Amino acid sequence: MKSPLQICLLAMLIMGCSSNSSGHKYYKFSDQTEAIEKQIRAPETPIYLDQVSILGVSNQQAFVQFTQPNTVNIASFHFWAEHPESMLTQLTLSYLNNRGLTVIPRTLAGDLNTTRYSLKLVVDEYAGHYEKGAILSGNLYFYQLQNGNTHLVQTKRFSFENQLQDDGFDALVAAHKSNWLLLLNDVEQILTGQLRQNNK
Amino acid sequence: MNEKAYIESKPKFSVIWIVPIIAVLITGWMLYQHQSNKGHTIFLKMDNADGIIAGKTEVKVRSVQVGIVESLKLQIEQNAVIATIRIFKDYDTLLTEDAKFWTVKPRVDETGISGLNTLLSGVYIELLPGEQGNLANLFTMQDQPALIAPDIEGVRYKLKAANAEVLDVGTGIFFRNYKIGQVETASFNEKTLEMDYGVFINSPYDELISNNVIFWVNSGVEVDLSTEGIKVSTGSLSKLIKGGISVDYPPNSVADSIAQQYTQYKLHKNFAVALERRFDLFDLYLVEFEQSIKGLKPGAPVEYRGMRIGTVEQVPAQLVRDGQPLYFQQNNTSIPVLIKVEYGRIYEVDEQAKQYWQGNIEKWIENGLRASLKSGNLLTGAVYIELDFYSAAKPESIAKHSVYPVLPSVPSGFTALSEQVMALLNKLNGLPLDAALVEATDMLTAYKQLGAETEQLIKDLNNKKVPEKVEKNLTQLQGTLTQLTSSLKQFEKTLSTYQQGSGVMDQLTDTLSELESLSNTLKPVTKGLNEQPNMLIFDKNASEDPVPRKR
Repeated sequence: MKSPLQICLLAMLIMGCSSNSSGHKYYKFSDQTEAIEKQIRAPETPIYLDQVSILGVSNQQAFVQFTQPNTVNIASFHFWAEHPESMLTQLTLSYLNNRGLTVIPRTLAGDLNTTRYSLKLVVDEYAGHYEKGAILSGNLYFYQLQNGNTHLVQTKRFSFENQLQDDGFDALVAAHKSNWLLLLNDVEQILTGQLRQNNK
Repeated sequence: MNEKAYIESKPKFSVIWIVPIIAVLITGWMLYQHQSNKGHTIFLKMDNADGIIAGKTEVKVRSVQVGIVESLKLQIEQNAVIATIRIFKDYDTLLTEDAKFWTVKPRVDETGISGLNTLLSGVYIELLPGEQGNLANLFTMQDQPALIAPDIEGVRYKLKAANAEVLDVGTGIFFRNYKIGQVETASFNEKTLEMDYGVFINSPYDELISNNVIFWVNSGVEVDLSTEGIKVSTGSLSKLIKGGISVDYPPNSVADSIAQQYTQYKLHKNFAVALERRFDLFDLYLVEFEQSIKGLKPGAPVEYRGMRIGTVEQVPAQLVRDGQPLYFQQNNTSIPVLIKVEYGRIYEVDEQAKQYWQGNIEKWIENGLRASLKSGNLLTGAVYIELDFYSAAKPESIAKHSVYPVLPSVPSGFTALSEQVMALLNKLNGLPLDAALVEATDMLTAYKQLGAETEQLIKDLNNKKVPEKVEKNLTQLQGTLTQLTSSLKQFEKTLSTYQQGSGVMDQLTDTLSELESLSNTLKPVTKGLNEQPNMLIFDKNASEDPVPRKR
């Protein structure tokens, strides 16, 4: 005769295996190059792009939302398809290249002794918000690399918020992307201005 | 008057005697009738008379009363109770030596609930009439109801099980999920250390039992783990609860001749084990691992890129030569594992597969074929041996110094990762930092010496103004500068190994990127495990994520 323990284990196995699947969902920005107006410029000094850094609780693949003034929810079933730092870096790279700037990932940089520029984006808030929709804030840092030394040329604080167009995580993803494109538009203008100033 | 008394003799038989004679005859006839109607008296021996009441408990055959318990008597010396049972007239013929008795009372077991009707009526004794032998009057009560009535047609076979699960009497025999018989007897053979089962296959399904059928224990639950997920299928409820024995023909085979009664078969642990017998053409190889073989057990699969080609035979290999393990004599630290390459798994025509394997194995080894340990199950930690080509593997060939040919292996998993990290650290350790520091110290010393000499020179020039001494000192200064330049070049060469774009930096950067990516991937899992440690077995209990709302 089967022992009760074996029957219980069998029941647990069947119960565990027969229940509904957990329903994890993964999100990614839509085609990164769409809706970005392409621009052709004369070759300029290349800019090294550091990987975007996200500080704090948003530095993870799970969606982060402020559900109340002091309450943060970390999603259990909704995730970015890849780490947001990597995703935002890719979007920044493709955006700036589409806009005619020569941008090279810092990890692939070669000679640091030649004069180059370097861009670093540090994000401290990147989350959904119960009132503001999607929020994005942080700092950008623009450096000049010369003879192996790094000089901070410009820094600027940025902050964006964008109301959702609809209910749901898809709308939140779209709002995040809009925020980031607004930031990249500012970044492009800053970089263009700096390069023009230094070339004079 | 001659008067003489006349004595009339009395009749010898008085009519009045007819009355008692008739009474005696009637009594005799009644006694005869009573005796003849009384039936047959038998004695039933039982361990205890639980629920049986003298004068009340009935004996039934197919719910028809055929007798009654007349009395109960305790036999202390035999630790038994003897019941005197009267079987009614005309049922005497049922009481042959092979007749069986058991008590019908409420029972709850794996076959279900039975005998509930006796809760109110009280227990009764069921008689399974015998068919063979002489009439008897002493029987023994059985503990369990008789499973198979003598009038049921079928054929009996024997099963032997060495490692299979122990099954109960009454366990069903299934042919393609249809019940065709059951286990009739089960006993453990203390000499062979095997379970002996007697099984009964109901007619006409005995015609399915051919000489080439295979029997295996079917647990009732079939779990199919594939890329589409886990599929669990079960049979009937009784099969699920009680398990069962499945019988079928081997794959790609048809029924052989019908087996004779009492033919003996082997009962296999499961279907996969039952098929093992097909792979009787194999070669043994040794694989020596320079890493932990924890989790590797005999019977684990040997695969080539996911296709099973053999089985692990011994872990570690117990090969003895001159009275001591072989690996004692080889003076190495590796752990030998004995594997079987089963040609029937590679191709159906195993002779052809053997020819193909043996004709190419040396070439494959030269081209980088290596064995490695792979994790087969994260929960149980079981591992298996995988053969695959490694382009970066050191050139090797099949070693034949041992009893069996030795397949080369490569480390895997954490061992491989730790070896790579160790190689990186060793490379860092091997950098000539000490030499560079010594050179730098020498250089500073040379500078100091140069300064002193220059100072001395200036003093001499100021004091003595000797041109030849100036020239000498200049020559000395030139030598010192040459030495300084050489030292600086060496120092620059040392530093260049740390520069961005160098091999060391690239390797270090790639390793860190992979570690960071792995860490990001594991974060949701560790968060889930932290919130619900049993989530590896059960679903997440986490509530739904709040849906972002438009305002």
